[in-house]
Amino acid sequence: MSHQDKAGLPLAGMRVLDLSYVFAVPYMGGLLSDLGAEVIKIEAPHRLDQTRGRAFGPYIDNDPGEKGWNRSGIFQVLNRGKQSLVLDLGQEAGREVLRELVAKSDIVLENFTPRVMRKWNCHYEELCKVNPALIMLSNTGYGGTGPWSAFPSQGTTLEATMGITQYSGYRGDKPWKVGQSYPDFLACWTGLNALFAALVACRESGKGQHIDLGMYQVGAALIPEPMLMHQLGQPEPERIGNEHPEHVPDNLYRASGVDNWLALSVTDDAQWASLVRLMGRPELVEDARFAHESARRERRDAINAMVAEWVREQDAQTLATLLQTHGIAAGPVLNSRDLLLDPHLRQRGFHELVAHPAPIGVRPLVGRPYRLRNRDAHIKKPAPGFGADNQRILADTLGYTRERIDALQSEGVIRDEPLNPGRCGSLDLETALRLGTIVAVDPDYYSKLGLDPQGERK
Amino acid sequence: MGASQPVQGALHGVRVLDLGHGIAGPFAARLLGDFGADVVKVEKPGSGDFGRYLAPLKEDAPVGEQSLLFQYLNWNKRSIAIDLRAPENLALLRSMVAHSDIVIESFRPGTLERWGLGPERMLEWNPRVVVTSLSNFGQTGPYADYRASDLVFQAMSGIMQISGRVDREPIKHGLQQSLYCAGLNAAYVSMAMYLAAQSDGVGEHIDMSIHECLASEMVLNLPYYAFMGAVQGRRAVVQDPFLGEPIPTRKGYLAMQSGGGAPFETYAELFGREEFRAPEFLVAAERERHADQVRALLLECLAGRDAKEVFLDGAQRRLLLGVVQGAAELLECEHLRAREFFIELDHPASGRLTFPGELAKLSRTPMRVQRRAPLFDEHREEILAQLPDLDHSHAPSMRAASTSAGSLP
Repeated sequence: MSHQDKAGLPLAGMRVLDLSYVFAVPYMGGLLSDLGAEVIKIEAPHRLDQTRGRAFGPYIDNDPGEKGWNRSGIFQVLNRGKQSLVLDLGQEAGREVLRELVAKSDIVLENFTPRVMRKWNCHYEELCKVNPALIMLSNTGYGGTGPWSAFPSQGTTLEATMGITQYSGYRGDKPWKVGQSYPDFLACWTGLNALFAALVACRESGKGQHIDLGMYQVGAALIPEPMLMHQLGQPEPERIGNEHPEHVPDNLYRASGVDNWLALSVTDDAQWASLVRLMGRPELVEDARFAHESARRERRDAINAMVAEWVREQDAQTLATLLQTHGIAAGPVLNSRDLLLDPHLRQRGFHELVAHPAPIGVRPLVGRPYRLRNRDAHIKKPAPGFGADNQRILADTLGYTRERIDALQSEGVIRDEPLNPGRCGSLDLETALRLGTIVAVDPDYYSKLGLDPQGERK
Repeated sequence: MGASQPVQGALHGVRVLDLGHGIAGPFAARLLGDFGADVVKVEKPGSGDFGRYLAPLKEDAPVGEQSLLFQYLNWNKRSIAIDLRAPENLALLRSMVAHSDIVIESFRPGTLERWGLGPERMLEWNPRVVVTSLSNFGQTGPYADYRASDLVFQAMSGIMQISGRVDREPIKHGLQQSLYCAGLNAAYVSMAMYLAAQSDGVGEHIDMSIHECLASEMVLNLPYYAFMGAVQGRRAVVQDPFLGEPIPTRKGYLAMQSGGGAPFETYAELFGREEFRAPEFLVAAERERHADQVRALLLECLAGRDAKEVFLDGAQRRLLLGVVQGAAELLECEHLRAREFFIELDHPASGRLTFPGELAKLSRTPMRVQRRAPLFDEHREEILAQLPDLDHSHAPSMRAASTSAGSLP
């Protein structure tokens, strides 16, 4: 099927107003844009989305340059495909613009603390008077009801509270948080579930609804195992690092080179037999001390030491390929360079090349974890500059006159530059390299990625 | 999660065929059921879904009905055992696909095709159907046949590269997070494509990669390479204790993060210690430089207090705090109880249990649990009876093909 013959995207013709900040909900909006929606990011003149600068970046070659708030890498990937309207909702004139847009939109996304939208009289009960088919998603740390609903939250601290941190960490060590802002991703995907369910319902009934998404409970829903063990009177699962409670060996082993690691999971006795043959230890196939999983569980340390010694001098990628050809789950720990250059992800088009205005140019951005047979989900355009679409939205979408737009501009209801941008900082690379939080900086990364300065893939 | 509201779910009338097994596929199908879809689960004759053997197990229940995790992943479904490999069952499966809106499958790539049941065939049978294939690394590409585990997914996604301490090995999330992440993704994309297929009558095949679901969490990290060639590593050995790392208290661990609604000086009030107003505490870079001193003071402040109490006190002062909680604390959490998060469900194999329930609150069409997880092959007769165009002479041979894994009254 050629490009033009493809069937339509699910959100073609739909409009989303995205009032949200930082990670979870902005990413939701970006993914809705990939699925065909027109997404308008509504930003406050005095409150810059944190991913536009300050704590987050990164900037091209670590230089924020002029108007750094239009250049941050994390902002680009989360807000791809959107338009930007900078609107002061603290003023009644700004809220009037919002209400007029709501009347012409299908979805509103927001992640203010519960009192903010109410203070502006822009909570769901009010906005649905303007548009009864409106679907509005409110994302908060703890949800809109309950004794903790007003507590402030961010992904890092929520990860502990929601339960997963308790079960993550090195064996015998304290609890550890893992990854970056994991709860934001869980909230993003859960919110998308709720939104599409609400869209299906709206299609049948013509009625919208409010979605109260509390991130805390989403995390708690994804650790059913210990909750059920607790009710059976079984002991609390221990923190066991990268190991598996039942399967042995199922662990991470150091490979050759500086910081290379191989993950390897043997989940049955036949795979164990394959592994020890590959290790040149065929006598272990019949050895009763190891042949069955229940016996191997009793000898974790000995088995880990044996496998570790075998892996230590070998290349992680080569060994992973060998193990896979023998039916054993294995793979190296990949870093961001490896991921961007990975032949599998490249062939599947996981990273999309997006042409940004100068000076950013063409950069690969994370796309989506799925391919479609009949439809063409894709990143429609780069993320918007701050207030880049003010004029067009007011004139074309709302039909405002030139005079009215100019008045809004002069009253500061709309703006094209942030009032308190703060300083867009560059990364202290020297310190990061010394601490090991950055392990390498490739001066030739652009050619490694197969990009040329004119912006085409070679 | 509402137990007995009369309202219909968002997906009322949507028919889902769940050919998945284990965790990810069944979880996706269950989410659609929670939104009100009618989900039919097809299980392998004999042993059933291997999810029926996943821990935790109620060991005094009949074999095949012991898994409590299976119950969690499969409520809101009806079960029928059908041998998908048997050519004589193709007519039945064709009829089932023809009467479905969404099919979810999680076989290794190429498996269904070998059985004459591939997504292409399903789309011939029902051009409006949405087929969601959930696999380790997707249906195409050099890793399409690779095996995987939760550990391998987390390693190859890039998450482990940035997790743990620089002087130790990379570390993964505990339990089986990758599979739940994939289930969430598969469910929403299935609904999205159902919406599209309802509009234009064109079905879809979704090729979803569990690996890519996890790799999507690198949106905050890959830009460091794509924009400046920097490869991120793990956490520094010594770092500002206000970056969220759990700190021990008298009872439990507390996580603290600077920023948020309250000024940093609020910690002086929380702990009754003026030191938190000093310049070496106020600024992140200074805290980093004096990390040992900051940590020592925090440990001193927390030695006589319980993590949960400090969490509640600080959160009311609008500080960004977290408290490390496990199953016992979550099951008793006053906030989750007030949100009616948990559901109680009876099952003949296990009696009444408390499960985590509602993920999000939809005001008009709440998520609901309408039926407990099915026993193996429990709904064979009613499922077959609901297929109007099926030649019912096929049914007896199928009954012969499905011996029950374990039976309950």
